[in-house]
This record gives sequence, C-alpha cells and structure tokens, in this order.
Amino acid sequence: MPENWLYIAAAYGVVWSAIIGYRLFLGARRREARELVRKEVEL
Amino acid sequence: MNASIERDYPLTPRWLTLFGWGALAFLLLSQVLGVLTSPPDRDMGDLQKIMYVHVPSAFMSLIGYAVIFVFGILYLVKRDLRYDLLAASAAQVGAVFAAATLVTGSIWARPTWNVWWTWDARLTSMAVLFLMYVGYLVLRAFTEDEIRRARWSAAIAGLGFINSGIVYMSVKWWRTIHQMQSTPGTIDPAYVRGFRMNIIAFLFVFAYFVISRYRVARVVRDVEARIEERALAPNAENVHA
Amino acid sequence: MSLSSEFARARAIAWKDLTAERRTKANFNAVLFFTALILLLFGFALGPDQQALREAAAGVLWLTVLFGGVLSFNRSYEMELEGGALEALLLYPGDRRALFVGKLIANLAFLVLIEVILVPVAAILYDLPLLSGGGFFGVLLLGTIGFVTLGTFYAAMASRVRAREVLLPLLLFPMLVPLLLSAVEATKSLLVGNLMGDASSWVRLLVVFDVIFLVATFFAFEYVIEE
Repeated sequence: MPENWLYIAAAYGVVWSAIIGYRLFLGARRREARELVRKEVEL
Repeated sequence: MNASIERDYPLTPRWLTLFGWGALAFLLLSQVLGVLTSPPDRDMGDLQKIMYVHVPSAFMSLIGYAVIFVFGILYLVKRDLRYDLLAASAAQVGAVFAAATLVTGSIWARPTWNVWWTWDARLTSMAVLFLMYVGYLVLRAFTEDEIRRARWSAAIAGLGFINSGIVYMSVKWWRTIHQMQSTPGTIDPAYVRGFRMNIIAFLFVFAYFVISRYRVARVVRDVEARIEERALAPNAENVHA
Repeated sequence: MSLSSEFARARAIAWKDLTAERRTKANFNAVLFFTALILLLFGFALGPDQQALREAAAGVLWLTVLFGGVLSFNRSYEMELEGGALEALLLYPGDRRALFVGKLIANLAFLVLIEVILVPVAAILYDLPLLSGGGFFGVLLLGTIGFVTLGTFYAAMASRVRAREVLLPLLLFPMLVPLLLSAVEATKSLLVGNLMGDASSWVRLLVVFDVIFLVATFFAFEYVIEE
C-alpha cells in the first residue's frame, strides 16, 4: 500500500518538527535570556 | 564586570552542547535503524514504523508528568524554587511530546481503523493528560507570585498524577463495556531492539530539552531577582559601580 | 485544637456561606435558570425523537450539573476576596483545612439544592422514570460529592488569579473524566435499564474516586492556602 508511506512520512514529520520546533523555541529563549543579562550588566 | 551571572551559571556549558549533539546523533541513528531493520508487520504492514515516533513520544509525556510530580514534591519538602523551575521545564517539554503523541496517534488511526480518532483507552487518556499539562502551564502563566505559583503547581501536579492512573483505568473499563475495536496489544520481539533504542534516544533528547529550559529559566529568574534587589536598595548600586 | 472544635469551625464557615447565599439568592437563581436553559438547549440539539433523548439524558444531565457547578465554585471564594476576608479567616487559630471542609459543605448544599429542582425538570423534559428506584439518587449524590470536592479545591486557586472564569473549568474538567464516565454509565443503566449489572461496578469506581480525592484535596489544601 503506497499511500501508507504518506501516513508514515506525516507521523515522522510531526515528531521531528516538534523536536526541531522546540529547539528553535529554546534558542529564542536563550537569546532573550542573554539580552536580559546584557541589559542588567549595563545598568 | 562582564555578565557575571552567565559566567557563574552559563546557559550553554560545553558539556550540555556536547550532550545535545550526542542526543541528536543517537536519535538519528535509532530512527534510521528502527525504520530500516523492522520487517513489515503481519497486520499493519509498514505502518508499524510509525510506532518508532509515536510510542517514544507517549513514553516521554508519561515520564514528563512523573518528573513534574517528583519535582513538585521535592519543592514542597525542600522549599527550593529550583525544583519548581525544573518541574515547569519538564511540563513544557512533556506537553510538546503529548501533543506529538496525539497527532501521530491520529495519523496512525486513519489507515488502520479508517477513522482519525478512536476512543481507545490509551489515546483518550493521552488527550486527558495533554489537557492536564495545559492546565498546569496555564495556571503557571496566570499566577504572578513565584512562591504561590510553585506551591500551587506542586499541588496540581500531585492530584493530576493520581488522576492519570484512574483516568486510564476508567476509560479502559468504559471501552470494554462498549466493545469497540481493539488496539494492537503485543509487540513482536523483532521490534523490541528498535523500540528500546528509540526510547533511550528520546529520553536523551527529553533530558537535553529539560536541562536547557531549566538553565534559561534559572538565569532569567536570577537576573530579575537582582534587578529587584537593586530597585530596593538604590544606594548600594553606586558603591558597586 | 480538638477535632470537635475543628468541625465546629467548618460548620460555622458553611453556615456563613449559605446564609450569605440565602440573603441574596441572586447567584442561586442565576445558576438554576442557567442549568434549566442548558437542559432545554440540549433538547433542541438532540431531539425531538423521544427515544434518542432518553438515551442521551444521563450524559446531558451530568454535563448540565458540571456546567452549573463550575459557575458557582469561584463565587464561594470571591465573597471572601472582596473584603479581604480570606486573610482575616486565615489569621484565626486552628487548622486551615476547616476552611476547606466548610466551603465544601456549603458548595455541596448549594449544588444539591440546584439538583433537587433540576432533576425533576430533566425527568419531565427527557421522559425519565425517576421513581423507579432510589439507586439513581445515590449515584447523583456520589457524583456530586466528588465533583464538589475537586471544584472547591481548584476554585481556591482559580478564584485568586486573572481569567478565573476560564481557568477553573480548564483545570477541573480533565480531572473529572473518570467521575463523568462512571456517573453517566451508572445513571444510564439505572434510568434506561440497560446492563443492570454494570451500575454497581461504576458506583464502586465513584466511591473510590470520592474517597481518594477527599483525602488528597484535604491534605493538599494546606499548600494552596498558606501565604
């Protein structure tokens, strides 16, 4: 059943996007935290 | 005079970066091995391969709630806000995996049972677990006082943890009475190795995310505490400068 | 403090809440009409086939109770917050859990009174054989106890933050899934009469749920209320 591969690809796509997405979110939070630290030092 | 918080407590110490890359490499290896080495299942055919993302995600969401529960209890015993931040980090990551579990479960249900949703005990309990994660995170977002937030979160996590078992049992019971389609129960031993590897790989990724999130939360909290401290004692700042 | 004096404190708080409620009646009447309205709306959504309505009645009745209850729990703490009375109550000596027990009793009385009027209305609208046995009233009481226990507990938090109207159901309803399942199934088998044997096992689950969460919330309340 070739259309099964569509479902398999979708499932892997969802989980990998979740993992990559969370990593990007984490990166954004890190940048914010660094910015906060930098501002605090300047004060 | 450089960022002393970042120096004392770096967001990304070298070991964490290495651990992150290692977890990613191991995850890639486990996924590829799982997909390539698994023979097509007798009933499900190639669809069985979805299990290498679906089941580990489900495991992570269960472990995630157990982690919240344990750190919640630790907070209540030790009254150290670091445990609360750890619990909150685990909640965020666990919620992401719970959502991924729901979506992949739905994707799996469609070709297997020809429906997008099945009121199966596991999938339904996972939906409830996801909502309990959401409730936990929303309550945190709306509670400003950090001590109060920590206490309340711990209380909610405790009740939620007790409830998750009761939910699963009751839904299973409900389903047996209504006799709808059954879930694939046993796992062929040929798949076990791929499963174990993937679950360990997901655990590494989970740990990397929770530790990283926790370090960000802790740095932000430390900076905010310092700003507050300075606002309360404006004279001390001049001496410091 | 002795156990009997703690009971007296809980009773005093319950009495105070119920008296305040009786004086105004505004909240009681509003919740009552709201639940009656929901019953009617479900009838429009699911009816007019008499048989289909009877099949759905157990679920509709319990959802109506849940929607009505969730509106009234926050109220029991808001009364205290308005005049800073909660802080004053917390200053009194003795176990703070008496406050929880008192609120629980008041909320239970409130909801049972709503049900006393609501259930006959549901029986008329959905053609239910209410008088076929006392078992149904037992199920109603057991389900309400579990619901009010968790509702009173979560409202202690939800009533003190922004967006309390949406936060309480968001926290409370996922916790109530086992209660809803067992209450609906037990009610269904008692009222519509299918699978009579099932009711007793669902009732047992209700009892277990009630006991577990009465104990758990009683001990966890300490952490919710301490300031």
